[in-house]
Amino acid sequence: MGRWLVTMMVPWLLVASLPASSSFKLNSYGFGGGGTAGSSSSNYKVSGLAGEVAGSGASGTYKVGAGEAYEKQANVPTIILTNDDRWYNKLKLVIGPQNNPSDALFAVAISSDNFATTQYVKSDLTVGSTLTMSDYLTYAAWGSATGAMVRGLRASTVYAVKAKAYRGKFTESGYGPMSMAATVDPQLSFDIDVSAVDQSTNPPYQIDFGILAVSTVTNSSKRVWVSIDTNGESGGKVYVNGQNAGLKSLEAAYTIASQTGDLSALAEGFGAQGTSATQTSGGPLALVAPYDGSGANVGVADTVIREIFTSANPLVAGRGSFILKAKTKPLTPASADYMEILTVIAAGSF
Amino acid sequence: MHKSKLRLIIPAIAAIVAELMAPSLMGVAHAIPPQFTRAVLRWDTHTALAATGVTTCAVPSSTITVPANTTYHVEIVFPYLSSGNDFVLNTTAANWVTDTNFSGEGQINGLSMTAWPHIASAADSVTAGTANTSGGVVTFPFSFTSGFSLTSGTMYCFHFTSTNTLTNSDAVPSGATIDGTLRVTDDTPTTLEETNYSTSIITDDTITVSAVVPPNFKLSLTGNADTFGTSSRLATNAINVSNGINFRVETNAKGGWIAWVKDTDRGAGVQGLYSATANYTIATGPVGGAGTTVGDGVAEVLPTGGGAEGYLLDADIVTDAAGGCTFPINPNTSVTGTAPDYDGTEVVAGPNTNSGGTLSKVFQPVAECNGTPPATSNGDIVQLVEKVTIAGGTPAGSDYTDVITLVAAGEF
Repeated sequence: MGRWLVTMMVPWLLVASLPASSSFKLNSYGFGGGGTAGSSSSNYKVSGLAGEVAGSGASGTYKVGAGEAYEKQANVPTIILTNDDRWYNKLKLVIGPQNNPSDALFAVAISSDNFATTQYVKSDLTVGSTLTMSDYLTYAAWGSATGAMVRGLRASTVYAVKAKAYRGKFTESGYGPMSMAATVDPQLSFDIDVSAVDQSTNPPYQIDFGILAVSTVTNSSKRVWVSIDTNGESGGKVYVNGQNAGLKSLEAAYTIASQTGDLSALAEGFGAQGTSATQTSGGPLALVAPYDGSGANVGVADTVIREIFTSANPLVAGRGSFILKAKTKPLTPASADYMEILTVIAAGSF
Repeated sequence: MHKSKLRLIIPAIAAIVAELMAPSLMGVAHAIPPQFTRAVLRWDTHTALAATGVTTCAVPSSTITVPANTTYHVEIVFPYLSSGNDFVLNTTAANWVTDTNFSGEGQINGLSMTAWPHIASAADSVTAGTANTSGGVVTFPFSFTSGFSLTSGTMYCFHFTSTNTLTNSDAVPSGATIDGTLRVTDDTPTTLEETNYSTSIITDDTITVSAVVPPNFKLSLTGNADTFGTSSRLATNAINVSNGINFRVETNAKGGWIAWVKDTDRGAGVQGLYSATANYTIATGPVGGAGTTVGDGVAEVLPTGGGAEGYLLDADIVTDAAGGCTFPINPNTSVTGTAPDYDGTEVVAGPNTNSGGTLSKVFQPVAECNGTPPATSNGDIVQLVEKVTIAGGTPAGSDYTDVITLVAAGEF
């Protein structure tokens, strides 16, 4: 009985070495559909399927693949893009993993021109021109079912996103279906009203204390109502300042100075006290010290622009109010022309 | 070789080729500049069609380093209104004067308002927008002879004046919003960071507050009866001086106060100390001496040794309350005092017991406190003293009396 080594020669491929073991080596094989079902020599027989039927079909919206290659690709993920809260510089995406394993990695493409051009959501959730391996993230890193915020977007722009997945080498899927959403413009809406009750009023806005009884803390009969609504990422603020830094009489050449403090203890003064702060959603809108006092405590309304209401978050239908208080002393010069002009302004923090 | 391994090898060759090809640079990017961490543009006034300045603040998301002698810019793109009177920008860049005075202002989102470093004193470019189509653009340069940085996380602010710069549009219609852009560019100019912002324009953002402070005036006397000494016996060889009555004035009259006195009208033109039993009047006035005319602005004097009849009223300042009004300076003596006619301090030096003023049946000013408004009075006090001399032949009587009426009023 004799044994000898069978050696087969296989044409050298550019990128692959000849498949071989220590005992056997394939000398020939081919690609493409149809392959060779089996191969044999007088002593050995190899049966196998080298190459297999493969192909794909696609339409404008669907793609189907066949064959083992497609079978091994990651499941094509879905994605949903939304604007949940009047966002002007971000949108939320939620990937649908489509039963890919938990260690599958997903990449997201984004476009503002329906993918005439393409950018990518980077690993830091900003938008970039290139897609690198570090931008492939797990489902968990993409926020799982909660999703993730894509930031640094342009305002008032429609964005489209699509996702693809892979797990290990040679398994990257194609992009899944698109999802679209639009950012809005940055917004600030502001208005004031002057009334004893919460209602809309028109300018000119006037508050008349009437006669100030001496040594008595007198409340204004009307309040100043402020409306503020903003989608600013850090909310918005309302400010107040007074042209005369108090109630000023030209005739008497005297000013009942505005100041912060307890008017019941002070001999004389003038200031503002917050009385309400509400909102429909977001915010919350809050009073800022020293305008958040009670009793006879007031905050100064002088020439310095001072914050009276604040919201650290976007705010829907914020509504606040403040009242004015004044007190005179016996020697406060008599006059009928005491006056102050208050200015109330607002700013969004974008 | 195992069957399954053979299957994997062949498609793997193709896959290897594919893997080497992807992921690859794909697409032409419309790069979005990085956004400021925060941008706040606060209008001085939201009132429609009003002139306004704007306080501009930005928090860089990344540190911006400005090389030496290199000019970077803050660029403000203003909003525009889609219809109606739009924002108007004065195209003279030099008008857009800047300042960084935020003294007394608090923080914004927990960040202090830091002066924008090396911001120029004014804008260097103003481009008017197209009404109802596009917003105007103003650029403010910032540079320095040595390099500096705008540090990420710091809020940098500057303000431009409202004088001949920006005029607000009409009020923004209800439900509509307007927005602009704030950006920082380098010297090429390439946008380094930018953020869109929004503001609001309303019909009026001012509230006029008015009040009335009512007048008050208080006059009080320390008593209603004045006597001479403890026995009220008048000596013939001296000037008899009464114990005195004080009056006090407190008022918020902006012009101060004035007080008058008059004597009881006893008819026949004679006022003074009258005795019903003696049917005799020690007439008011001096006995000889300087000044015999009522209201001539000069006090009269009585003979220090008595021996002749005379009867005067002396008014002297006890308290000139701090602040508010002041007693005038007597033009005759250049000394602060009461009304010159009754101011007994000016005629002689030292303790003055012999001068005063002649009483009249008509109100005569006895004291006044005034000054530049607010000339209020927080308790001025004046003492009224009667001074009498009698002669040896003055009829005896224990009922010599006089009623002096004092009135006062605030100068509102």
